[in-house]
Amino acid sequence: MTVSVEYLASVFNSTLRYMTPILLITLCANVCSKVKVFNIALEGTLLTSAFFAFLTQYFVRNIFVAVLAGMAVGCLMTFVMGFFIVKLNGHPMIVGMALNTFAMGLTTFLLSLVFHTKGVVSDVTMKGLTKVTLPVISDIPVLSTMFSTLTTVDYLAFFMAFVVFVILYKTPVGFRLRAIGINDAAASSLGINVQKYQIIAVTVSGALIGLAGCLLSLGSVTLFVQNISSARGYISLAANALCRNHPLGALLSSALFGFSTALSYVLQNTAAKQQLLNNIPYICTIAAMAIYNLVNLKKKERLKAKKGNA
Amino acid sequence: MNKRIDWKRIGGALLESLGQPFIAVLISFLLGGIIIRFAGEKAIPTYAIMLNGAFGNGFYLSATLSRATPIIMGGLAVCIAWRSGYEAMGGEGQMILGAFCGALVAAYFPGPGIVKIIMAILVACVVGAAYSVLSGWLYDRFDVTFIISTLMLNYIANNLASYFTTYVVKDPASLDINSIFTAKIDETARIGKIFEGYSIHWGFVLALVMVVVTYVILYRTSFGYKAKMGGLNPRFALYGGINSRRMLYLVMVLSGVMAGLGGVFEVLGSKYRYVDQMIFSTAYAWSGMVAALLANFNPFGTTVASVLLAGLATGGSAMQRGTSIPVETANMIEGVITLLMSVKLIALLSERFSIKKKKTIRHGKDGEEA
Repeated sequence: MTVSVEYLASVFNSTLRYMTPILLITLCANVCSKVKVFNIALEGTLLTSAFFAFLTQYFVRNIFVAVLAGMAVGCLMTFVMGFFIVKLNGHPMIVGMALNTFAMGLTTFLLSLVFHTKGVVSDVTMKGLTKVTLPVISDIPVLSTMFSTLTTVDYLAFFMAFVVFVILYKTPVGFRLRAIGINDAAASSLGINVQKYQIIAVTVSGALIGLAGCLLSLGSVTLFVQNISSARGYISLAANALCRNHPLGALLSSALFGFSTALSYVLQNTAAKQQLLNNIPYICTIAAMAIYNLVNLKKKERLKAKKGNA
Repeated sequence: MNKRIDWKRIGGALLESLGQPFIAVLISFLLGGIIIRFAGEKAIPTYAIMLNGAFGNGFYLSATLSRATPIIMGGLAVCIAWRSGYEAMGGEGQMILGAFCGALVAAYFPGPGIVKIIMAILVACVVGAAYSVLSGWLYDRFDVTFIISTLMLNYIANNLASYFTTYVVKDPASLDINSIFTAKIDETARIGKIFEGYSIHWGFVLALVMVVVTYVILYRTSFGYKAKMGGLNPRFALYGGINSRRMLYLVMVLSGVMAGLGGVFEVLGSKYRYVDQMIFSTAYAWSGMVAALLANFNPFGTTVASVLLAGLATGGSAMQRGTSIPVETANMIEGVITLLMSVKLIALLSERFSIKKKKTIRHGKDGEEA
């Protein structure tokens, strides 16, 4: 197999395209765990927002409205989750599982109600997200492949990582949010309305998942298929654990998942079998976390040993 | 005077334990009714079809109980692990590997039927336990949290089983490309049906036995006590001289055995082979986890919740057959019930009222003092 530069460029391109939804979801998981709300409803939120973005575009035919609808549904789902966990003191795991089950049921139900199918729905006349053609780069052969077919939301995803970072680490609001995560009792004693902050943060971060949902159903192809989210929510949970809750780290960890997914599709053309290749992202997750933790543990041990000697 | 039965308190406790599920079910079925109306069917007849399809007669009831079997086992696996403080969700992967390996052993192991059955069950236990221990080892050695490692291992198990079923051990007798399953198990090597012509099999009874076993282990042995201590307060457990590492692996083994058994019961009792995606697409382990969480990790409560969840699923498919409503409506109802069960509705309500009462009393006193 000869590997051309053009080929590598296309791998880079698909890495970018697989990574952006995961990046957005990871950022949401990031904010949620910063305010101590364990969010396992990522999967269901993603599924519903992808569906409603698609549905809105199908009826309204206005991509801007469709993206807004996706974001609104994302916010609504995370709000319900936040309300049940924070205000009503529900077990995060049960609440999340319940929402995931509900989302699966709701989307399939509406799919068969509106489109009379439980499989794939696509409409060639439907417009997806606007594709960005970069002015100079699109004329250069390799670079143009690297950045081709990326939509506005793809670029927005990278931008959002920096936005979330600035909000969390450089503003008073972010300081309060992080304070809640570190010690909610102490934050409360400083006069921060912990529950209010938690619910608002969780709700707003749902919009990020809404964007990711738009990328799935209105991104490079405009179609919706039952369970389109296909475990991206859970993978993002892992990506978030890997980047230790840091928005800029999320860029790296989601790139890892994007790359491993791209790799599994690239190798598809070789003799390797699909089922085995599908495991690449999952094995990468475990391996990456294990290596990261091992290195950290060794560092700590070394520090301890140094202190002992001194 | 002291021996007088406090009816008020008993009533309150009853209201609290039964009222909660009642309200949750009521609200979610009301919501479901609106959805059904929305889809163009009448709510009450649709629910009648659903109820009949879940528990209506012996045939449907036996289908529900048969479906509940792997859910109960998945629930027990969660009960054991979570009660000990390990939030592992690997039941699905362990169940898949248990089912897959059990199906192969039952189909190819030489010897009479009973030997095949025993070997299949043993192998499923070992495989389930080993896969569970793997996630325990990742936690112990590399500090990989259970939620992440078990989620990933579930997908890996499903993909591996799918790979081997498709390319390596596909049933040689099947000519259809689209039907991906292993060879059918001999009639002698199956777990028999309890009643001829009904789908309920002895695996359900074995599952009930395992429920009692789990109860005894968790509530009546020092192991269960230590496990619970470790779950409630790991530091205190350490102080009390409990070897937490040993506990971790023991808990993982037990939990994996339960999940593996769930898989092999399903294969030997109802499918008679491993069909690609059979555990993954039915989400038995996830339902089991929901059941265990709802029952607060009590094995008996888990059993009841599992049967109800299974009934919702079988009733849902009856509804799909009998009306134009798709089976996924049952998923929505299940989601809402679970969501409402996650919070202590009645406790919250009564708390709210009692706070108001207290406030008014205090205000009254203040008024008097002033």
